[in-house]
Amino acid sequence: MASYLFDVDEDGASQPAEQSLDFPTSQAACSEAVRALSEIMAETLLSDGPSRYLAITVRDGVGAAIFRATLRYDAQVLGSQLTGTERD
Amino acid sequence: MREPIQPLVAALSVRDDLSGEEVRALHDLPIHLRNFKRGEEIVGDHTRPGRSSLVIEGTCGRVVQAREGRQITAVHVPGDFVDLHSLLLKVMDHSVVALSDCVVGSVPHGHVASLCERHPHLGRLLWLSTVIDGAIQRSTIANIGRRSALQRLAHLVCELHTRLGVIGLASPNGFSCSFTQTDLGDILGLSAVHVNRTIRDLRARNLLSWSGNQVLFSSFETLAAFADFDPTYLNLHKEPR
Repeated sequence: MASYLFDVDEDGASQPAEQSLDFPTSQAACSEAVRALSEIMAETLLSDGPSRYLAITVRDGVGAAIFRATLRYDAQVLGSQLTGTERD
Repeated sequence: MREPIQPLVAALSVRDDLSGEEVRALHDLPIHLRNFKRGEEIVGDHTRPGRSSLVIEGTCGRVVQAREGRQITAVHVPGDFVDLHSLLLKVMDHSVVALSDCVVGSVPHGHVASLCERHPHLGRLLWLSTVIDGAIQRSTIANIGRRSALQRLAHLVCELHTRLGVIGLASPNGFSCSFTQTDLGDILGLSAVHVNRTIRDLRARNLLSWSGNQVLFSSFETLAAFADFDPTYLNLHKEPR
């Protein structure tokens, strides 16, 4: 097992990892980042407005970045039936 | 250490009155105590245990190992029999793992069966405990299947606080819990990174803080309302069973 840090960037607001997580391989740590990226994006899509940018950077035990995954979401209301998106 | 059987007596007594004779019968069970380190397996998958394990100190989890990862399907606290099921199921379809350093007492199945025959009311209460295990599983499925990550974690905290309170291990505004963020992810069906973000978000909303082993909140009622926590499934009222 080795320790990895996961920094989350949400819409430009960077949240450096507060604590490390252990994974058996760097591949497993990168898969965790991808899984977390999709989970967090899915969870916040409906509540956080029509545009979202999310990035997770994985750093190894000495703090060197080894992997970054990003997702960008944009929604637009089309047609005349709706007047806008509503926030929860 | 307090009497090993005391947490079980406390957990059963919340749901019904026990006679002095029933309490003595529980105290007379031959309990073999063992210490487990965090992460150690207490009961193996596909084994035939021959004994049922009672949590005396610490927390344990029932674990189903999927190819894609570990799912902790249930959490057990002191006073819970973690594999009373094996008395009837015989072969384990999951494993039981120590989620903290813990003390577990094991009781030979023959003695559990004999206790139920000599004291049918105690037998029904042990049956009730497995029925409540099932109720907790229903609640867990709804929690994982339908609630947001924030609500899932808040709901788990409400449940643990309530269950630990039954055996005197919770304070009004929190409790100690040694789960790692990886454990929490495996309980809640979330990645550990998402759990980390969720803890941070709950703290930012002033709903709870989880720092090291300490879980604290300023208002259980506020947290319970946020989590949609209704303790009916824990069956915490006393009535003849």
